[in-house]
Amino acid sequence: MSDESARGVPVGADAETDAGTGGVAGGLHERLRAFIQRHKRESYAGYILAGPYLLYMGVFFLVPVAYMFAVSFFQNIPNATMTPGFTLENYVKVFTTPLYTNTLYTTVEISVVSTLFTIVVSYPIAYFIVFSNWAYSKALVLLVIAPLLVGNVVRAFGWFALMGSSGALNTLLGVVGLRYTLLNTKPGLVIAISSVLMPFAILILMSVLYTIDEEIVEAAYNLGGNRLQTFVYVTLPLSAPGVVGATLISFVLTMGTFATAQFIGMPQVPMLAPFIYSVANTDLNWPLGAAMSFVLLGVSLLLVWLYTRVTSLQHESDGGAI
Amino acid sequence: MALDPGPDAGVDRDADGDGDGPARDARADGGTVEVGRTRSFRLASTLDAVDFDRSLAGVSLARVVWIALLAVVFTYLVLPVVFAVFISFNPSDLYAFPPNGFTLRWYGEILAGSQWIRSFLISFQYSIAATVIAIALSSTAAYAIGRFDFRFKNALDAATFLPLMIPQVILGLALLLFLQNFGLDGNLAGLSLALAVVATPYATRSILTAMYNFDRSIEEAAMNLGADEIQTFRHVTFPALLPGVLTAAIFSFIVTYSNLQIAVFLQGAGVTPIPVLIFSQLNFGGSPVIAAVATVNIVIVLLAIVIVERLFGAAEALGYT
Repeated sequence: MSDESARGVPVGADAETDAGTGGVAGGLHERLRAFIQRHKRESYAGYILAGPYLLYMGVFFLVPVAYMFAVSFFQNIPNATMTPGFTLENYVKVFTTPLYTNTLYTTVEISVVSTLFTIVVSYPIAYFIVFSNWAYSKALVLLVIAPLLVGNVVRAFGWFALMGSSGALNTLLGVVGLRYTLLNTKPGLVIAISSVLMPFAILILMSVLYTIDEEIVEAAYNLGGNRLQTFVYVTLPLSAPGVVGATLISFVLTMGTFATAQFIGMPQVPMLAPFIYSVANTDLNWPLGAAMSFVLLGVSLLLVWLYTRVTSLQHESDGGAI
Repeated sequence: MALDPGPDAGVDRDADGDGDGPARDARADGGTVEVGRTRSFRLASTLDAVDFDRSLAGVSLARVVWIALLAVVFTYLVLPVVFAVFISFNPSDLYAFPPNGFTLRWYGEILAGSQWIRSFLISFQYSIAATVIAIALSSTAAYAIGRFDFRFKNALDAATFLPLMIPQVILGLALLLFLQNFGLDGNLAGLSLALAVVATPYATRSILTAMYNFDRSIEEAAMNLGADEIQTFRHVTFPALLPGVLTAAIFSFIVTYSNLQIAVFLQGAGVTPIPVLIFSQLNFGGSPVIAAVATVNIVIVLLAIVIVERLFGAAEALGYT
């Protein structure tokens, strides 16, 4: 609103200079313009424009998730039906079946390790793209985005082919005399998942690194800090919000890993998302699948909440110096 | 080619564009000094011991470390994609390495089986439909966020990311459970409606970036010259935002086209999207035909990225300038 009213010319003043050429189009033009002029300064103008978006997201995002929450309390009838009702047996089943609880534990474990690994590997890349004066460093952004856009299945397939017992990694390890198949192991899964997460982490870290005031970094150099000192005492603390943000997003994304978990981890290293798929799509037990989804979501949110608590406490004990 | 982000890093980011670079001694005052004094320099002595300006055969140590690090990490990032392309030309069907020849046989098998072609066509159809929906919704929403002040505006801005924050498998199941009540599962309509949801975050972001980069004084000039709101929008604002909208459309297309987690729930008999077909074939062990299909997908995505880059600069499109 503020910028609309900042204009020098009163809105009505150019009415007679309108180029509308009469007829139906002109009438439409007039009516549309009158509508715009009447409403554009109102506090609800934004809602009129964003209305279709909000409506769509309500119908195709919020309502389905809410409906699934309801379904998670429904009674399952074997062979593809369910009856509305209220039962906790789906949740009880998730928490009392050792297969599912073990899977949940593995999912959290893999997610934590993958997230840490992702952040450590992504930080140098983001740092380089932002701070380097290499002419092509902006082109590296494309290289970061490209794997993200190619999609998870293709990359899962790539790792699957690389890690298989006759795959390239085994052949290379064989040259050094090692025999170790990464497929269906935890290290293998972490490696594959982290490469999926990296583009997200790099983009988030970059957006925060860009906001760092270069003059502060310059000042650190001028005060005699060498590169590593400047990094440890100035740049890294300033980029902390980005690290926190990238950690959160990476973690949430890993908890829901599907294609990678299916092909690299299953069945030796199970994660929850492939189970949700098979319970819902193969067993057609939708209430149980819905309950598993909300357990996954709940555990993710709980850990995210704990993490933000811990990082904010840490920030306070630092005296908020930075 | 200066590869190390050294003390004079950021000269190319000289924001005011006057080419003089950041003033080197402008800010030796204020908070930075205080931070240095109040923090204990536990690591300082260790850090001082490392000589960053040492040269190895004429190349500075820092640069060697950077090049090595970047090479390793970028190899790691693109390795699975590159390897998929690689084995699509390999005659061996065991994904073996090193290759024992060159063949186009797997590409021939895509063309021979009608299954893959049909899936390609299906994926294209719902991706285009979902893109149209996502752009129609996101452009108005982005316009509202970028131009208007209203309560919950910042909340709405943040909420546009929500479809990315929730695990996609969960969203897929939720959409299946909900849409099947209306017969919208297992057909193109359902896929289009569902996948538009995951495209909106990318679309909104691209269009918002274009809006923030747009110089509004041009609009004011048009208004001062007598154009009304509609004329200004048609002849000034819209053409200026069009590259951003097209970029958003291409990103939306790619995101919906390569989405597996939602498509896998909304697939149906005869309606098998490409990622789902790859997924189900891989469940049976797969074959290098998948690598060939993956390569075709990669080419489609890379083409799209090149178009975006030409149009707008892909990095800029997502707001990383």
